[in-house]
Amino acid sequence: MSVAVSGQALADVAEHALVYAGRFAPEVVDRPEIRVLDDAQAGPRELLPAVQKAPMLVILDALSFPYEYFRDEHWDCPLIVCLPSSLGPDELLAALGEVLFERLEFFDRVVTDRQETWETLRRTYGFATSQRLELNPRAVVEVVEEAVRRLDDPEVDEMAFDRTAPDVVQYWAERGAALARVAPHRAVGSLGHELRGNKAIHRVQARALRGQLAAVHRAQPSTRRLRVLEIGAGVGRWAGLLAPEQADFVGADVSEEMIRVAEANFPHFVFSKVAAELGPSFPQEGFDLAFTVTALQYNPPEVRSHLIAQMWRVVRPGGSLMFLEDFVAARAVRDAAVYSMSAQDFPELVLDATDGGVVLEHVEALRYRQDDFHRSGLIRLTKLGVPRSQ
Amino acid sequence: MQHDSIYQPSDIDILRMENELLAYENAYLKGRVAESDRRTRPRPTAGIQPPSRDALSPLWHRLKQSRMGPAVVRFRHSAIGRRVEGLLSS
Repeated sequence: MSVAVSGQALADVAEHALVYAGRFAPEVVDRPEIRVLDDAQAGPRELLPAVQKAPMLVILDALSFPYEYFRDEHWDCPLIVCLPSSLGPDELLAALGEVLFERLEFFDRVVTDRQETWETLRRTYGFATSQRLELNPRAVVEVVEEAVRRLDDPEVDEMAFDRTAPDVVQYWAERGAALARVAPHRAVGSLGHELRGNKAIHRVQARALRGQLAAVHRAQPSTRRLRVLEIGAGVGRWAGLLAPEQADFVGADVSEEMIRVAEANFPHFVFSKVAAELGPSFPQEGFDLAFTVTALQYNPPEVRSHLIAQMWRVVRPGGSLMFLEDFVAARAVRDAAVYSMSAQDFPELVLDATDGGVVLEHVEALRYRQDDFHRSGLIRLTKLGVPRSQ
Repeated sequence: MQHDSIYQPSDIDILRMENELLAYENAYLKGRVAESDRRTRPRPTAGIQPPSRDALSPLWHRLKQSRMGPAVVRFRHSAIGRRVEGLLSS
C-alpha cells in the first residue's frame, strides 16, 4: 500500500524517519513513525526541507535517489541506504562511489546481503562493521522496522548516569557498558543524545581531523607506516580515517565494552583497555601521533595533565600530539561529567606536562551546526627532542 | 566557576570561554601570517650580487660600456665568441 504524503505533511517530519521509497513505494506499509516519499516527491522543493528536519533518512531505492540536490547540511541527516543486490561491487562503486559512499560517515548504515559488496566497501572507504545492516535490501518492511528501532528506544532514552560520580573511570566504564552496543552515538561522549546531532558534530570533527592527519602523513617518510595512538578511543570511530595498509592504529579506553565493540568494528586494528592514567602500557617513543577527541575534558585537571605527559612520552621526537576537545561547554550538560577546560589555560597545561618540549603547529576553533557558539578546538603540536635510538 | 569540579556553565561562562578559544586561534593565525611574511620578504642582502669568480667578466663589462659595445655583445654571443671565451676561461 502506498502511503506517500503531501508536502504539507512533510513539514511535520521532525519526529519521523523519512523513507525515500522511489520505485518501491507500493511495498512500504504505513506506520505512524515514518513519512514516505515516492519518486514524484523527490524534487528539491519537497525533499530538501524534509531532509533538513528528519532525524533519519532511509533510502530504499539507492539508484534513483537525487543525491545531486544535497548541499553540505543535508548530509547531517543519518542515513540507512539499501544497496541493490543485483549489482556487483564494481558496478556499485562506479554508480554510487562519488555521490554516496564517499559521503557516508560512522553513524550511517548500509544494507547489503552480499558479503563481497560489503568487503569492497569496507576496504575502499574504511567502514566499521557496525555500519553494515545484514538484511535483505528488498525486505522493505524489515529495513523500516530497523530504522524505527534505532530512532525510538525508550529504554536507552531513559538511561541516566550520575554525573557527579567522583570516579571518572567508573563513570565511563558504566556508561560504556550500557551504551556501547545499543546507542554508540551516545557512548562516544557527545552532550546531546539524538543521532542526528551527533552525526553533525562527527562530520565537523572528521573534516578537521582529516586535514591534520594528512599533514601528519606528509611529514612522515613515505616508506614508513604511521603509528597512531588514540586515548579514549570509545567504539573506535576515528580508526576509520586511517588506511590499514598505511597505518598501525592503537585505540585505548577505560571501558571494556567499548573496546569489544571497537575490536569488532575494526578487526585489523588494535584496541586495549587501560587505566585512566594510561601508565606505562605503551612503549616510549613508540608512536608518530597520539591524539584525543573529546576525552581530556571528562577528566579532572590532575588526570588531564598526567595523560598529556604520557602522550608526550609515547610519541617520538618530531611526532605529533593532537587534541580535539570542548573548550566551551554546552548549556545542556544533563548527565555528562564535564570539567571546565579553558583554551587560555590549556597551552600552559601542555607546557607544564611536557616540560616545554613541544611546538605549536595548528589551532582551529570548531563550531557545530546546532550551536550558536564555537564549542571545540583542535590543537596540533610537534614533540621536540632527539630520538633515543640515535 | 571552579576549574576542579564538574560544573554547569552559565551564558557568561560560555561567552567568556568562547572568547578565549577564538582569541587563541586568532593569536595563532596572526603568528602564522607574520611567519609567512618574514619568509617571503626579501632579505637585506638579497640585492647584493656575489663577487664574480670569472676573470673575464670585468673585461666584458668594460668593453660593453665602450663605443664598441653592441659589436662586442654580438661577438660574445656568436659561435666564434663562445669558443674564444671557452678557451680563455679554461
